[in-house]
Amino acid sequence: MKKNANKNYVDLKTQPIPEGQHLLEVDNLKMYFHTEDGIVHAVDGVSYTLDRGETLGVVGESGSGKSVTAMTIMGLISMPPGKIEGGRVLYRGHSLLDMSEEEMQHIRGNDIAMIFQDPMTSLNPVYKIGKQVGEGLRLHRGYSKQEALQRATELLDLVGIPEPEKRVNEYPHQFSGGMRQRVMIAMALACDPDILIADEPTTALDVTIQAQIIELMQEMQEKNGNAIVMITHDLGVVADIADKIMVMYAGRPVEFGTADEIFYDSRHPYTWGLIRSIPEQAIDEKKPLTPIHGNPPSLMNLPAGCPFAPRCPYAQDICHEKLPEQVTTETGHYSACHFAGDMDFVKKNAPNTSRSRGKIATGTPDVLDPSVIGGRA
Amino acid sequence: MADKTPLLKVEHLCKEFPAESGTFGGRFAKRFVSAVNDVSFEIYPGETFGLVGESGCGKSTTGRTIMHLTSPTSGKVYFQGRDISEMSKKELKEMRRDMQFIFQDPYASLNPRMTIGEIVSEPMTIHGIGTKEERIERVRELLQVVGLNPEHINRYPHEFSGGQRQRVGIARAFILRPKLIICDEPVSALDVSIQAQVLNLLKELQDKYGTAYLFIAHDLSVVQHISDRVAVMYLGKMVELSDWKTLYTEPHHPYTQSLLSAVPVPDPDIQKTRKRIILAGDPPSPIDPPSGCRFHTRCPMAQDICSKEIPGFDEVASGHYCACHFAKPFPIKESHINL
Repeated sequence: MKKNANKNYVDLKTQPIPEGQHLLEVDNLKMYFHTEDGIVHAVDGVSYTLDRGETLGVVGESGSGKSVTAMTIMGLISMPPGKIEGGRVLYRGHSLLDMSEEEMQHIRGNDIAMIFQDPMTSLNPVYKIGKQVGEGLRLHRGYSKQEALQRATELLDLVGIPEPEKRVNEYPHQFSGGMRQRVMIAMALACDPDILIADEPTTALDVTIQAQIIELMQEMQEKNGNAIVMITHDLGVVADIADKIMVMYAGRPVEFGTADEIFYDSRHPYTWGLIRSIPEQAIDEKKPLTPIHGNPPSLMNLPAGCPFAPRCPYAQDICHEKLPEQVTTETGHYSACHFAGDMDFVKKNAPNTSRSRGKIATGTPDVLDPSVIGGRA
Repeated sequence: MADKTPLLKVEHLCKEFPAESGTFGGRFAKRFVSAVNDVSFEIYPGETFGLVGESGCGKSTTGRTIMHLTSPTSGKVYFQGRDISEMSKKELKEMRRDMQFIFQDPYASLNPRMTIGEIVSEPMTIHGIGTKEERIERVRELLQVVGLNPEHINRYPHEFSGGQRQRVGIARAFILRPKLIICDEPVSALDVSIQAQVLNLLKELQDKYGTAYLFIAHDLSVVQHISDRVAVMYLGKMVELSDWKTLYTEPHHPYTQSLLSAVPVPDPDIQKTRKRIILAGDPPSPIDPPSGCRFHTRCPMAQDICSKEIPGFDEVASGHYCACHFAKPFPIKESHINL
């Protein structure tokens, strides 16, 4: 690769966001895979906006198109078999879908960085950690080897890896899962990106380590002001971190709103189903769970009408015939359900929440407050 | 738990693996992975005993050792009053009619070359129960019970989704009407909506057949939902054991407390206001476990004694055991610690 290949490009992240636009604007994005067996509607009309300092949570079950959407935005889908069937992705007013591969290479890592689920397989086992963390800096910023290594050491220190001077010279197998995920975060943040896309960053980790990683991501966001797209299947994780939430089902966003709107004022039966499927932190007695019946549809032959209709307990004739439009409120909260505008329907069927019950159930027991314990400082 | 005789009794169970392969399969290894260390508990007929902990804490090894899939280094396992380690191969086989296993991975635990009917009836074939017709009849009946179409008896595993495959695994475990089923992370590979289906199914089957479960999982909310009693493991040791309610409302051990506080609650109001203990660092290696209390290296309230003496697994309240020097009195206050 040419050393100064990136000389001709303007650093997009230093440019102001055009008036009336957002940092990232995804508008009715559609990407289908054309396979031998038929067309897979992997991403089917996804829209959202994101600004600096914000966190968007993308929730859904496996195969709902959460990761593919992110990879389409990053230009990581091979085309063919993938094909953009419509829509726009604007980053600071520039269309990502129209960029050349070279331009995209400059965007990736520099402006938009990504963390993957599996920290075991997303690091190269034959290169030292320092080299991998500094790679983006060498590529995008033209750092020398020494400078990159120097900065990599600082970054490892920043993400809380002890003895960074020693650790930069180690290989991925010498790191634990949580430490590897910290390395991934250091790598993603090396070039100070505008947007950090995290694809199930904590799913492979234990819960105490998950808490560390989420805290680290929030800390880094406060420091750098970057936006985060958090892709996860865990509603608990998005409750922790997200400002806005998009719920996806069968390649489509079925509901989008602020975290408060999704958790306390959701309008879509699928969101309700997800909330009800989680074992409640019941303290008094246990009730059987209310699962969503059946299985998600194949993305190759989606049912006519609403894709959720076959599993929806409230489905009417219209649901099996007509694809629902998005019902949007003034605040931008939308729900793709025929009955989302019917407040009686919503009120009657939405799950109880801590707010509708009028009290905040103490989700956790009266745990020790570390500040009072003393212990070891 | 009306029945006072335990179905399964585990006493001071230890399991060590050689940490180096070396000569003779590591038989002369000097370093050992202490996977399970001095674990004792009982399971009563018809109850669900939850076993939680992070990866590498020895919960799966405990399950496998009970089943005698690996033999314990020391300690005893009694099933229906009989010592498993003294059983002959034939007796072990007999015993396994009453003790079955449900595995985590619904993809790897079903033979892709066998039909669903063959998979589910295999335990009957192995134990020589019934004629072929009777087996098929029983399989069809059970497929119905676990929510699969009995017409699919001749299909192969790849034709089913993850949740359906797990139902096949459950049908296989139930076909001999065992008294105890060891469920090793039975829902962790499934999506949350499917997970709820499988959990409800396990509960229904338990009500129907009166089976006891040893339910091994890392997800605390799942374990809380299904279990009558719950034990928490850390680095091969059991740190706390209690009925589910007490464990989740009044956890005595600092590890249980931090574990519970680390689980993100799907409710932003609660999530923003509750107190959380975020543990520093990773769990230490079980090859050279820390001296004294194995948790002391990460414990927010560790004192000198913690690195010197191994805390006993003592009863702090009726039926509530905890391995911490400061577990009693509860709740712990600063004044209790400055000893």
